[in-house]
Amino acid sequence: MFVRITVNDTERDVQQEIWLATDYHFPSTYSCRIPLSNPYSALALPAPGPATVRLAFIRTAIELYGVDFTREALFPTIRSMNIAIRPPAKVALSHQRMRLLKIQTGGSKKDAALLSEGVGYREMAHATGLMTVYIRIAVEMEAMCRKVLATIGYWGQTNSLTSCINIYHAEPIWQECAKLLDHGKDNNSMRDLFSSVIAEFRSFNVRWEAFIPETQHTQIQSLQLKLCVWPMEILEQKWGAKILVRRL
Amino acid sequence: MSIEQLPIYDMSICSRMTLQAQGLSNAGGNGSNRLMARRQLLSDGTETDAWSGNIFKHHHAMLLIEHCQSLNIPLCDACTVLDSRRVAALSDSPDKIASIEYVLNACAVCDTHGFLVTAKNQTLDSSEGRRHRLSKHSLIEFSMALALPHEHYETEHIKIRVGDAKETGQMLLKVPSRSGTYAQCIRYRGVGVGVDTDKWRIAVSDKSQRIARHQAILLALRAQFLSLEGALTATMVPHVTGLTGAVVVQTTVGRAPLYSALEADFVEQLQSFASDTCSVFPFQTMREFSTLMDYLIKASVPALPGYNRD
Repeated sequence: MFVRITVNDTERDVQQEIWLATDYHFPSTYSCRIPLSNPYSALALPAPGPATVRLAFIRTAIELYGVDFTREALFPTIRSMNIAIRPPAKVALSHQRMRLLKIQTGGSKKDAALLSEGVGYREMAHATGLMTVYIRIAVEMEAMCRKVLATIGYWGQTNSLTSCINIYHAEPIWQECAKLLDHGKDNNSMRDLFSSVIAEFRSFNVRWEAFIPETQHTQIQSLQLKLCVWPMEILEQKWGAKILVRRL
Repeated sequence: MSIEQLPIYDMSICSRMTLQAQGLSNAGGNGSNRLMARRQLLSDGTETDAWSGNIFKHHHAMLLIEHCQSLNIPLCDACTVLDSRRVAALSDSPDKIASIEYVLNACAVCDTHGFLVTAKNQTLDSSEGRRHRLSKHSLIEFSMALALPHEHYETEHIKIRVGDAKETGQMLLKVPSRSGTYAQCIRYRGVGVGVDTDKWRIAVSDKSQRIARHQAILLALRAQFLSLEGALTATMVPHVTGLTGAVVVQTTVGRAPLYSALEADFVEQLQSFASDTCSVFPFQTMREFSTLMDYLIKASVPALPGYNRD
């Protein structure tokens, strides 16, 4: 689970919060790039990471409510809410060779920021079963969050289409959700599981300008990288592709 | 709601298309004498034939340019000459990339298919100024098309090609030709026509211009189903022997549902989402699909962003 440390973790605050679960269907292949992997030779995750979920939330909330309302009313919840992600029951990852537009590097400064066509590789995922995203929010935020969750249409790449199937109250099934690798605890039970780097917001009070800069020159470190273990084992590997199955 | 004004906020097309002898999307060459079919591993362990959504998107952009030119809808200098970099190809002309509003008003294809102008710092000698980053995501998205497992077949043909050098002469090339029923999903966000979709502000305020662009997008979408184009179609135009599926239209804020046509009951699944704001239009033949698209082209308009409405 991706847990935020709440500022006032009193019993009263806990009682006013609920877990909201949303099931998403992937109607075709999708690709959520592993952070740090080369964009022109990209590896994929079995499901989006927590930063992707929060960013999709921000993007969709802006569509529904506008920039100002999202910043004032929703962003404090988005950046601090607890998130748990339960990947689909089975995910197959295959490499695809593609023609890509690449940003030119090297050469003269004039060419440095131009696009050119070239060949790249992208890992594409295909899933069986639904992915579930759990968020923990204050009760009074439920109506707005439900609308946002129902309107999220893709994760990561815009061709990673997704469709919201159902939203309901439910606590995460923790043993089927992705976990951060905790160096202090015994991680032997995670030894055979699929792991990856994921991105998460740097802190629960990260600034709005880190994601929606008011000027083009604002640059704030907003994300941090963490090691994550997915509750998935490699079932089969063939010609560079692999099939992951969620461990029960 | 009158039949003349069906607002499309979001639209999806989930379809199964049966093709014989196609080579629309390939994974490149294996050496200089063999073309490889594109394959995708499915989560049930089967390997199936596939074609990339990129080829469909590229074809739609080409058709959209043709329709825009015939309808006198503005295009930028890059899209006019079919430059796939879109307005980024004009990065050396600061007046052509002055702002997102300027770009969206100037070019319907950049507005529809998205673009990226990368940021650049000012040069040390100040001979070139700073360039701000401008971008828009595509309004129309294509999934990979996946063949129904165990229902696709491949035949390898030997063809002749001319070698790279004059001395090489003719070479043999093995080209796969595939047949099967392919499942694909397409999403079109009508609400985003003429809109800066990062800040969700309307950039193209002329309503007739937004409608014209929307109609051109749907015309191109219909055309690409009726006449497929992609790799190798110069000598291997596919035989289309079947088309079934459903078009789903969301008329207010929200998403038109998508469901994989790999599942046998995908149309029933989509129909279960029907409501006052979500209409599902199934089709069983190419003729029915064309008639349906004709109706949407004549009777629909792009919706306005939710909180921008009066």
